[in-house]
Amino acid sequence: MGSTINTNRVSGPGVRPVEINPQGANGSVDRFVAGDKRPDAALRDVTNGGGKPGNSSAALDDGPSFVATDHDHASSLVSGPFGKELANIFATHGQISSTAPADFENEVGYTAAA
Amino acid sequence: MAQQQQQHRAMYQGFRLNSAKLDRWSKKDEGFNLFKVGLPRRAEPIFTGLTQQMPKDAYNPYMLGCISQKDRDYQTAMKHYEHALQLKPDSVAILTNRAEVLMLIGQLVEARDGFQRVLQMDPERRFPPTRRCVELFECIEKIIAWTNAHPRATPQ
Repeated sequence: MGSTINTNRVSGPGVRPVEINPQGANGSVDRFVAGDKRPDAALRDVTNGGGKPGNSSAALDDGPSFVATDHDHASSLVSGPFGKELANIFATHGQISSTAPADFENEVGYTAAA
Repeated sequence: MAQQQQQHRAMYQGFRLNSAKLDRWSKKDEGFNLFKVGLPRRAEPIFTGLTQQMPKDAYNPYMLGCISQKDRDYQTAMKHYEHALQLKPDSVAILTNRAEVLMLIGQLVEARDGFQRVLQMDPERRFPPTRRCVELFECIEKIIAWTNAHPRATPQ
């Protein structure tokens, strides 16, 4: 769990299922099966920015680089032109924001005082 | 367990906690730590149980929402966050995550409004979720502008 792959090396059918941790931190693990004859679809699930197979660092101003065929809006979002920006936010602040019980409780005092 | 309770008693000084409550708080920490180390499946039954034991505590549905969000089950996550917000409507943590789910399911304007509300609630950016919100708000503003400019490419 938590292993990282270079998405540039996912090149087509026959690739074995891989566990991906795009950020390599915060325990975020995504799984996809890349051998479904749709490596591009699998790649859209990877929050690596760009979303273009073979070019995980596509520039933000490249314009639309995805086709909205997925039901999962989030996948399209993270592989769209702002995917890199979102990925940076998730890398900085964690894939999911979660708050410890004590901090959550202290929030009451803070928000009440604000 | 006694030592753990002692630690929690020190940690939550100022709160009126009896032994049973301390035990539940220990469970919360245990669930949170399991989630943080990437074991949401083990955290889920803890928070499900605590939701039944502590029906007025917003933290447990909030964490169930986090678990569902991590699973990309956004509808269930929304359900848990809505439940948590009923119990604690002014929570920056819950509002941030709810807005993020709205963004991920494509309700971009509602998401932007959610982020904006959090930023208004914490103008000094003192709470960590707010700092996440600042960047997400800036990003979603760009996404909305971009989708307006490219309506045919808008993901559904």
